[in-house]
Amino acid sequence: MVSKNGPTVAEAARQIYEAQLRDELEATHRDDFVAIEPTSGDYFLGRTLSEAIGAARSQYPDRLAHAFRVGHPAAVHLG
Amino acid sequence: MKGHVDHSGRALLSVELKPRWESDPVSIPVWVDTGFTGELVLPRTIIDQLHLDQSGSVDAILADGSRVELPTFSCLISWFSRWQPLEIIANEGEFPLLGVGMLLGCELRINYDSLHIELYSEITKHDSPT
Repeated sequence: MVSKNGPTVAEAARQIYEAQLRDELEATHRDDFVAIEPTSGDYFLGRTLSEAIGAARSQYPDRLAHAFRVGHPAAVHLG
Repeated sequence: MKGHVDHSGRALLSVELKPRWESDPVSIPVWVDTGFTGELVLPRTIIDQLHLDQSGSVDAILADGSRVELPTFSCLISWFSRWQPLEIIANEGEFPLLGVGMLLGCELRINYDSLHIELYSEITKHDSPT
């Protein structure tokens, strides 16, 4: 779990990504990172994870965002 | 930026982090891990010690192919002597990992004979020893 709000944020962001953003972004921003703030539905693109989440944080400093890497099954690979 | 290879063969650098602009920096040894595609992973214990603010979450695929959801935290990193915002991923591991997200635009030289590491920034075109 991310936090008491984490799963809800992540699940809501995944729904927005799948329903509204995946097709468009995979055609135009493959390999970029996108952070979705699900309460507003706003999304923020960046070349790095820090750019994407940082942009979301700047716009909504008190809200959490969930980040994806466009065209990849997960934002990062570990190991 | 210079580092060393330890007795376990880990390529180690030291980076400075701080939670906010006005905070005092903390120096942390990090393991250069080219199998990690993000920027920096810190064990949850260090994140708690630094009192970092959570910023969100990401999905990550681990070495065994499993998929997990991990929280992210905001901080600042001194990278080639320039402080810049960084989103850190937290995990339950034992050692901080510096991934290829931080190495883009850089040249990394690891000498497993002399046990020295040198990291050069192709963007700043200078080497900044730490």
